[in-house]
Amino acid sequence: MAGNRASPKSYGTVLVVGGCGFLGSRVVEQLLNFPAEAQDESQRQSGKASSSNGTVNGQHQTPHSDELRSPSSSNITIFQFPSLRSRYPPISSSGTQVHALDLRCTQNLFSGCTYHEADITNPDALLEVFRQVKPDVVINTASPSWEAPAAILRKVNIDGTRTLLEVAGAKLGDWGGHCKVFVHTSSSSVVHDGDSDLINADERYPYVCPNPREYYSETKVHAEKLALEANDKPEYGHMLTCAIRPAGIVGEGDRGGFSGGILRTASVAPAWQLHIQLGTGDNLFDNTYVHNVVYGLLCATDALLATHARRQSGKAVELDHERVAGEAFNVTNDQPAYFWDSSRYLYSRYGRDINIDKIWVLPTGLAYAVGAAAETFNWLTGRKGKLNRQTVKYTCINRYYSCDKLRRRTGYKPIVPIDEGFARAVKWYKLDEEQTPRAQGQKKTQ
Amino acid sequence: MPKVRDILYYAVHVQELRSIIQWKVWHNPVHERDESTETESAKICFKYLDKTSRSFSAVIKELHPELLLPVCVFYLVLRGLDTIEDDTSISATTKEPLLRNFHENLEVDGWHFDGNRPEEKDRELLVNFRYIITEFKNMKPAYQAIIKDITQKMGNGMADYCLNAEFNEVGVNTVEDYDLYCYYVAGLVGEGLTRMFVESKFANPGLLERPQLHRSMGLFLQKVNIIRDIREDFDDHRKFWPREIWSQYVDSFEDLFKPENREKALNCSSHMILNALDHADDCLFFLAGLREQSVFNFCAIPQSMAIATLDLCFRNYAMFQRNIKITKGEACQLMTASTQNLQVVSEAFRKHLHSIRRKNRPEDPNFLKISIACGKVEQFIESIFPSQKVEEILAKGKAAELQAAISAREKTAPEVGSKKETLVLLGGVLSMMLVITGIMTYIAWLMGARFDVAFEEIKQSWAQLTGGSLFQGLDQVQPTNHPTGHGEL
Repeated sequence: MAGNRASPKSYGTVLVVGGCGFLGSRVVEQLLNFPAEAQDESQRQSGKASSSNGTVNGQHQTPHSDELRSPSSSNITIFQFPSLRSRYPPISSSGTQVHALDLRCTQNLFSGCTYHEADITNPDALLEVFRQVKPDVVINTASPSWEAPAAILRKVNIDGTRTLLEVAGAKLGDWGGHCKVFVHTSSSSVVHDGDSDLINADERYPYVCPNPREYYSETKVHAEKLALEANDKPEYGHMLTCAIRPAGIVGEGDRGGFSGGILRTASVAPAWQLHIQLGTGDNLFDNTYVHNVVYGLLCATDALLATHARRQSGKAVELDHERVAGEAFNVTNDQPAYFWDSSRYLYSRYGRDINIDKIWVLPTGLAYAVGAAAETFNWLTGRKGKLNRQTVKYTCINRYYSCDKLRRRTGYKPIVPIDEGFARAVKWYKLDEEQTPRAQGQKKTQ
Repeated sequence: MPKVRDILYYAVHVQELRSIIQWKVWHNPVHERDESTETESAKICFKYLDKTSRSFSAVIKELHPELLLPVCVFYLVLRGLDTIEDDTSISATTKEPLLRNFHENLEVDGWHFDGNRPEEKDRELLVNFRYIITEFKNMKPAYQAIIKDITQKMGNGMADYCLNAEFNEVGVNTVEDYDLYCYYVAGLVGEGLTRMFVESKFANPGLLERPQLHRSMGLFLQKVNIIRDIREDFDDHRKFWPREIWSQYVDSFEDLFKPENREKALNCSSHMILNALDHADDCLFFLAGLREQSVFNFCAIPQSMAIATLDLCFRNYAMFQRNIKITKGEACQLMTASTQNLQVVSEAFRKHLHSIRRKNRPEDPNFLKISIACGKVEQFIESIFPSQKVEEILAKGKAAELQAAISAREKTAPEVGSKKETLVLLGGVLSMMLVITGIMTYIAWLMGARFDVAFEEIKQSWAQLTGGSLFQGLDQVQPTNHPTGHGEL
C-alpha cells in the first residue's frame, strides 16, 4: 500500500454534518490527515532532528498488516499499530477546508477544523452556518443511535436529512451558492427486515419499508430515498448526491455499536454469560472499521466531484455501470467473520478468559425463549436490558454484504483489516475506561 | 489383510466404513485405460507410475485418453528430476548441471542415469528412463513443449536451492522464500497441468490469464504437506516452515518439539495453517474452470484431501509427535464427494472450514484472522453457489405485493357484503324474537294475566331491596315503555 502514494487530494470546503459524533469525528480526523498521529510521531522524533511536517515517516518499518501480530489482552493498551496516516491516501491541507456541524460541539474536537453548533432540523440555523461556511461538499453523518426513541429517529433522520438537503441545494433559501456534492451516510440495514439471513447482499436488494422490527432502519430508508431523489435536480441546483451504507461500524470512539456493545458486556457480564453461545455459531457477520467507512465516503466524494467537473466541462454523461451520482453503495471491510468469533475476540482482548471447551451452545429455538425471558425479566424489574428477542436474532443470522459496487465504481478498498479494527476498538475502549471511570451515557453513533 | 486395530476402528466408525464400501462398490472411473492398445513402453510407464506414486497413480489412470499418457509421462519426468535432487550422495557440483539440463535429456533417445545411490527409492526409474523418453516423443508436440518448459524451470529452481547454502543450513527464511520454494516444487506443476488442460480444450482458457489460480492450486497442496510432515521433515533435518513465522513463537526451530512449548507450537501451527488457508478460495475458483469430469476429479480429489488434512492438523499437537493422516474412511468419503461436481466439493470445504472454526481458540494470537480466512472462503462459495439470490428476493417481494393488492381488493368488496349479511341476519333474529314476545304477551293478556298487579309487586319488592332511591329514575321511564306497548295492544 505504501510506496505508490498518490498526490494529496483536494476536496475544497467540506462540511461534515454530525462532525462530533462517532463517525463524523473520524471523517474530520481523516480529512486532517490524522493530526493525533502526527503529534505522536513528532514526539517520538523529538530526540532526533525534527522534520517540520513529519509526513511519510519510515515506511519500511510499517509491517504489512497481514504479518502484523495480533496484540494480546495483556499488552493491548500499549500496543502500537502501524500508523493510519501512512496507509490512507493523503489529503491536501491547502486544498481542503474542514468544517464540522453538530448539535453540540463539546467532544472529539480537532484543531484545524472549524466547528459550528446548529440543529439540522432548524432551517434558519442551518442557513446561517451555510452562509458562513459556503461548503462545496456536505458529508452527512448525523444520526441518532438505533435505540433512540421513534420521535427522535424520525426527526433527525427524516426531517433533518430533508432540511439539510434543501439547504445544501439552496432550495430553502439563498446562502450565496449551492453545494456541488452531498454524500449521505445511510445504513446497510435499509434492506434488512431484522429477521432473515442476508448473504452477500448487494444494492439490488429491496428496501424494507415499513420495517416493524427496526424503526431505525425504516427512517434510514426514508432518508436515503430523500437524498437520492434530490440528485441532479434543478431545484437543488443540480447538486450531486449518493448514499453510503456502512455495515456495522467498529473502531475508536464506538460506544453504542457492535464493538462498544460487546465491550460493555465484557466489562460487566459474569463469566458464565460470556460462555453462552446462541445458535450453531456458523453465521457470518459484517463489521467495518470506522476509517474504512470514512474512506468509502471520501471515495464517493471524489467520484461525485469528478462527475461534477466532467459535467461542468460539458463532457459526455458517464455510463450506467460507472455512475455514482444518485446511487447507493454498501461499504464493508469485505471480511465477514463468524459472529461469535468476533465477540469472543473482543471479550478475550478486553481481558476476559474465554475457555472454548466450556461454551454452552443453545439451539436457536431455545435462544428465542432466552430472549423472551430476558424481556419479561426486564419488564418486571423495569430495567433496560440489551438482551431481547431482536438482539438474540442478530446473534444467530448471517448478515453480510457485497461491496463490489463501491469497489468497481469508486476504487474503494478496505485498507485496515477488520482484526486490526477490532483490536484498535479494544485499545481505545480500555484507555477511555481508564480516563472516564464509569457512567457513560448513550452517545450518538453512526 | 486388515489389521486388528483397523477392524476395531471401523467397528466404531460405521459411517466411515460405509464410505469405504460405497467408494469400492459404486465408483465407476470416468475413463479406463485400455491396455490392449498400449505400446510396451506405455505399459512400462504405468508400471513406474504405480511404483513411484501412492496417491496420484489412481487418479491419473482415470484421466481422459487424450491426457492419460501426457500426464503420466509429465509426472514421471518430474519424479526423475526429484530423484536426482533428493539424492544427498551426489555432490552439488555434479548435481547442479544435471538439474539445469535435465529437460534436454528428453530429446535424447535411450538416455538414462545410474548415478543414484542404491538405496534411493526411485533409482530404477532413472535407470530405465529410455521408455519414458520413447513415450514422450510419441505424444503431441504441444504437450512435449509444455513438459520440457516446466522441467527446465523446475530444474533451474531446484539447482538454485541446491547451491543456496543458507537454505541448506537454516531452511526457509521469509514467507516470501517459502512461497517461492513451494512455487518451484508445486506451483510449476500446476502451471504445466493447466496448460495441458487448456491445450486439450478440457479447461477454460481464462485459467491461463489468472496465473494466481493455478499457482494457488500447487501452493495449497504443497503447504498442507509441509505442515503435516513437520515431524518427519524435522527428523530428516529439513526445515520448510519459514523462520519468519516460527521465530514469532520460539527462539529455535527445535524448541517447537519440546513438550514445555506445546502451546507455542500449536499457535505456530495455526499461523502456518492460516497462511495455507489463504489459497483455498483460489483453488475452488480454479476448479470452476474445468470442463471435463476426469480432469475435474484429478484436480479436486487432492484439494479436498488437503482441506481435510488442514482440518486434521489444526490445533492437533499429535502432528509434532508423529506422522498424522486422514483415515481411509474419510479419504473415501472425500473421493466420492470430489468425483461429482464443484458444489459437492464446495460443501466438503465448508464442512471442514466449520470444523476448523469450532476448534479455533480465542487465546490463539491468530484467532480472528483464522475466523476471517474461513469466512473469506465461505463468502466465495456463496458467490459461486448463492444460497440467497437477489432475483428470487425481488420476485418474492413482487409476488407478495401482488398478493397483498389482490387480497386487499378481495377483502374490501366481500367484507362489506358479509357485514351487511350479518346485520340483516341479526336484525331478522331480533325482530323475530320481538314478534314472538309480543304474541306470547298478548296470549297471556287474553288469558287474563294481570300485568298491572305483577308490575306493582315487582316495583314494591325492588323498592324494598334498593330502598326506593334507584327506582325513582326508572319510575319515569318504565311507564312510558311498557304501557305504550301495552296500550297499543
